[in-house]
Amino acid sequence: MIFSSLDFVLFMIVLVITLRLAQQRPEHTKKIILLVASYYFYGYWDWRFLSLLVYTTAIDHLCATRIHASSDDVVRKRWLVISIVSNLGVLAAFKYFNFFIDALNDVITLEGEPLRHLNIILPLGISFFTFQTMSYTIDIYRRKLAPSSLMDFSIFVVFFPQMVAGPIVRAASFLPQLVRPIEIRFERIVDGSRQFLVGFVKKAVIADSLSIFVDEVFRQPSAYDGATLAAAVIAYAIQIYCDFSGYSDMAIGVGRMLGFELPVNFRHPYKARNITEFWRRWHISLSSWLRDYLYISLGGNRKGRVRTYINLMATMTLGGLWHGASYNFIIWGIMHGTALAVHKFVMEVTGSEKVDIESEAFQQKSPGAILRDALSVVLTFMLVCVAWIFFRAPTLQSAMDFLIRIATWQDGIHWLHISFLLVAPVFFLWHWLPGNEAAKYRVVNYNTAWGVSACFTLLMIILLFSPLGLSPFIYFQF
Amino acid sequence: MELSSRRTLDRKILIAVLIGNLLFWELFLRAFLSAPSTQIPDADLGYVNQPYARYVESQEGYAQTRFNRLGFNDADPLDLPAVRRIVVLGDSYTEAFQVPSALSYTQLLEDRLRDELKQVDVVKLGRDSFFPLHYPLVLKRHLKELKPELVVVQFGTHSSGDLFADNIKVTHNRLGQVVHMALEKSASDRHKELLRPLISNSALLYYSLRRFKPVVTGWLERFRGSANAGIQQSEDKPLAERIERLVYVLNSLKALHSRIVLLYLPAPGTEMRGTSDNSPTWKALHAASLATGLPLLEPAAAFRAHYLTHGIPLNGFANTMPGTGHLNNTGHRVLSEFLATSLAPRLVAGRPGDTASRRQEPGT
Repeated sequence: MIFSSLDFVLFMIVLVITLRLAQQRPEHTKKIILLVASYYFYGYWDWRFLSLLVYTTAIDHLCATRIHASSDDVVRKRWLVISIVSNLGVLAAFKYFNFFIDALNDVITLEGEPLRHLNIILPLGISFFTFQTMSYTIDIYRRKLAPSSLMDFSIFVVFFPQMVAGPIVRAASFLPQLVRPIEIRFERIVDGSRQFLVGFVKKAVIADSLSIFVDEVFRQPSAYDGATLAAAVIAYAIQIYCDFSGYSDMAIGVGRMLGFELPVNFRHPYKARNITEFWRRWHISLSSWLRDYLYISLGGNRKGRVRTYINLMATMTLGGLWHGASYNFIIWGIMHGTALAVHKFVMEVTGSEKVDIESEAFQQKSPGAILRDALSVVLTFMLVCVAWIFFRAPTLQSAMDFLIRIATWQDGIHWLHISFLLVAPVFFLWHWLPGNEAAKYRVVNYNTAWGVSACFTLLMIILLFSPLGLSPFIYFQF
Repeated sequence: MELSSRRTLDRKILIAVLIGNLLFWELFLRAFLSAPSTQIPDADLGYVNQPYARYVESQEGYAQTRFNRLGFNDADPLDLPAVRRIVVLGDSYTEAFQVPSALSYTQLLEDRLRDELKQVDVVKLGRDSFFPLHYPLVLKRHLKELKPELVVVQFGTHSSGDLFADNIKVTHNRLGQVVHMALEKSASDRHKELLRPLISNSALLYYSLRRFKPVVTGWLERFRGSANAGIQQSEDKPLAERIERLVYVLNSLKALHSRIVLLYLPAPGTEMRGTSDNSPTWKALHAASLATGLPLLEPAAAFRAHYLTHGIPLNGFANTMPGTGHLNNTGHRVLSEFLATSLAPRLVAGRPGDTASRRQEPGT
């Protein structure tokens, strides 16, 4: 069920009314309603994979309870390993098995037939919910968290607004919200709908419009000239941001309508002045997960400079592999890992201060500072765009061809889609505007005539200009 | 972020804001993207465009235009006694909403022929959703007034399939041969009549209805089967029946005019793919052309040669994909050049005295 579909709107109306009618009922009843709705949401795509969710929930709940119950470190570690192996085993079977078979077939020449693929489909949101459940058992192992009831944990695993494509929620921030009463309140619905509307515009108007251009150019890059390819990469950078952050906005909005706060996932990433800042603004819930559960577990920066760089590279390479089983994602991860390591090295050598996430580009008034920010932002954006080529291209060969055609400014069909020409300038103007996050909510509100006009205008833009038809979110495939 | 949503806007202000917004979008669409519906019912043709009404095409290409006094996307026919007139019958490819009127192939053809033949008038009688069966009806209606020297009849890949639409009634004789074809009012025309009071006054409603037509059609199909079943199924129709129906149309045209030339436009993007157009219409039209003795012009080779030389697709716009949909500016230019080369000798041959005398008197 896609957030932008009529089916989802009907589903939400029924759920909100049901929860509202159950307002005076015990909390347990409301939790059952929420759990059933979440299972229904997931089962709407393919009911067979509900068993996978139940399996993951049961195993991790069992492991977490046993870890918490034991004071013996060996036993605790044993249960943690069972949980991690179980989660990674599910991921390996469904997501990476065929990739490793291909890699083996490429490397090993066996007499007779090559190893065969498993005929399986990738369960929706598998990378998201396995990471969530792993963080739960790891946090309990690290004694940062106490186990919750099976009901609460089940809701944490399948909470439908974010389970398919994030934000990746930490148990420590979500489970306490299940302790307080689940209430459907008008102001929360209003507030959530604002966030949902902003996400809807990002997805339906910007991302889906650009996808027409991006899909066609990436389908046959050899037909187009260098300028068209370069434009398509920039268009993809905008598309994937608006698609994914649009989904996150909608998820946060839906969560808020039901009385839950989900973490912020994006903070205008293309405003970043360096790659380290980019990763503190892009897919924040994943980057912080990788930092807390992978980078730190590998030793972080506690084991010397060289080991820090290796840890960074390893973390980002695995982060790339998290997105999908292909060499392109691995290269994308290596590129980001290398860039992060180089940036860290330069910072250390030059003695630069740490990246300050609270400060933003273009906030200082002096022309010199603005120019320096502009240069840094553009260079970082270009680096990110080069990596996006590998992320988006269907094969490694296609990505290389794409890159070479841009680098050598090849001739071909010159085609700049109108959506790119209209959207890109407006997008960057808004994206780079200082203080735009606060401005967004001043503009989109229901309390003033201008605010209502802005909301109505956004609705009309969706109705009149968004491409027709439902296109799934890009991150659904991960 | 905290909200004070309990402080709701006054209802009257809210209504005023919504009405103001609707008015804004109505004006915005009229200014840039769409006029209200310009179509008026017509007993023979289903509907025609209101003469001199304004039209904006923004979904494929972009052009603002005004219909002529005959209701077509063209300048008014020249009102000169010695004018040599070519009439072009066709569908949306000939109507050419997607490009500025001055750059459509009929206008460019006129410009090219005028260099050689002086008073030439190429009149466009093409309209979106015209089936070949419309062509004799349109020609008959305007024949007396226009008195064309030559009639060009444009066909596309879907043309023979269109002759199997639900609103075309075909009478066969005992041997199963087509003896009569008649056009009836289509469901789409009935819907347009029903909605006319709304869509002819509001650009917003007209634009929205056109935009959501595929969605609504999709919903209807889910519940009661395909609305366009007649046309979709026509892809499977036998070649012999296609030929017969085309021959019927061509004979009807021949009965109206003695000098007819057929023009077949290849499938969009054929020049890019480099594969020959093997559509059922192409095959049927070839056979029908032979059966009726009417010459058939095919610009496919000219399209391909131009693409290979310049690398510019002949179909597709900035808001659609290259090699898809209707002809773009380049496509119209190449087609006009092809037609000028193909038609000029026929025109010279048609009235040698006129042309020769003009050529002997340069500057006249």
